[in-house]
Amino acid sequence: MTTNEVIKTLAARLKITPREARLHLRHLLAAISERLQKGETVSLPDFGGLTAAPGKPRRTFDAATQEFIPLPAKVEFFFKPYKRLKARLAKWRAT
Amino acid sequence: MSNSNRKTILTGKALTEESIRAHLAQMGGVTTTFMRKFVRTTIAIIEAGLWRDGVVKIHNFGTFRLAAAANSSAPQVVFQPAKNIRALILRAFGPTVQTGSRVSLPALLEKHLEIFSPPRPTGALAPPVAEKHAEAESAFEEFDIAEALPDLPEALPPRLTLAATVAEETEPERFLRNPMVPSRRRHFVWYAGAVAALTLLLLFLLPGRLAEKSEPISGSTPPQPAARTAIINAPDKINNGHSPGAPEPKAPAKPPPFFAGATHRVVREDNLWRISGNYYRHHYLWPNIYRANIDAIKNPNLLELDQQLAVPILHGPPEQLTSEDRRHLAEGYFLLYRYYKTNDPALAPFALWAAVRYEARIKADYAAELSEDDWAFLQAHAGPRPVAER
Repeated sequence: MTTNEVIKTLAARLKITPREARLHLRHLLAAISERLQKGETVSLPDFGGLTAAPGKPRRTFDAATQEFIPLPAKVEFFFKPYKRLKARLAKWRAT
Repeated sequence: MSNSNRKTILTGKALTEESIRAHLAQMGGVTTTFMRKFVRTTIAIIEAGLWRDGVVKIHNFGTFRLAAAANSSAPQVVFQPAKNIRALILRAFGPTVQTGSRVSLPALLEKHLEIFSPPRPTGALAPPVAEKHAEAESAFEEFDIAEALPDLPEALPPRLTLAATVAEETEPERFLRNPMVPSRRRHFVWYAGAVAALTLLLLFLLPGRLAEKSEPISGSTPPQPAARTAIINAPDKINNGHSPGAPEPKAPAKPPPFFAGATHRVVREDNLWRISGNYYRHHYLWPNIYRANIDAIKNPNLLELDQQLAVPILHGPPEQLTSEDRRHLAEGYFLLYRYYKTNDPALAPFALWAAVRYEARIKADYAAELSEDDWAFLQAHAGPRPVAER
């Protein structure tokens, strides 16, 4: 499923124009990423929680100088499904 | 979040906070309730998409994907952010980032809406869009996730089945399943095709060239340049004699005009200055548009909404106007002089001055309309050339 499909379905379901749906979706995503940047967990109701966290600082070994060189940490993203989603997934797997 | 970050996230294209606010205002605003329904519907649709395809890709945000869990029979949902989001968040994470706090999305959106949405008009002033949203809100109660997409399959989507078997595969098989591989194959096909086409082209062209070169050596007759030129020039000679049926010699092609002319529909906050800037790339040429629409424009400072304006042709670029362009501009400024003379006499001499700067003969043509003061002004301010010519 792609963005366009999401937008079309949204527009049909909420009886708004695709243009409006696209704009609201942008709002939504902007709001989510804004909070993720602050290191907060965004909880999507009945779906799951989305978190971004800085990973461990990495290091690499320089064989020439026999020293460890520090590297910047990566960002790790976590999606934790909520109970209801977990139940649905389990049910789905069972079918 | 800084303003530049917000811009990047929201669009990647030219959508700023101001433009969103303007757009929302135009739409009539949205209520918090509506936005909440919107969020829940979006989430439901994402989940339905996961059920159907096993993957939901949201542009400029990320991808939700169903993947087989290592030690569980149920699949798990994985979120993979888009590159730009990952970069933004990495940039935002300084050494002092405080993580761990939790915020619920509806509450977050309420705050977000406070920033973006204008106050919503109520009662008789409420726009029709609000009614539409109210309809959607009332219809939402019957909403069910399974209904979001009617053709939900009962079995697992094939992609998930593939993903579930990945864990048992050997390393080369996994490499073959890498989504990068088909694209590499595709690239290879393109490159191979291009190389084959080039080779064929060379094979067709080279023998012809070689044959041409080898002609004087192998041929029995030596080249005859005089005869050749005679044959080549023969049609020209016929043309000079004006024989019937022969094509006439073409006149030297005229360079295309700088701007070919257009029709503009006046939108909100439009003015002649801005229209001229958009079409002619120069604001000071707006009297040309005023001249072309003199019957339609009563006040050059005030345009009517949805008015159709003709934007006339401009032959040369603003810094190299042709004589025709200069004449038109001078006439436009002179029409402006007439307008100011009745409505704002203090500005009238300046319009006249500009008209004369573009075309000096305008003084002589309309000498009867000029007053003594105007002549004195022109004499005193025989100043620099107009800005457009600098």
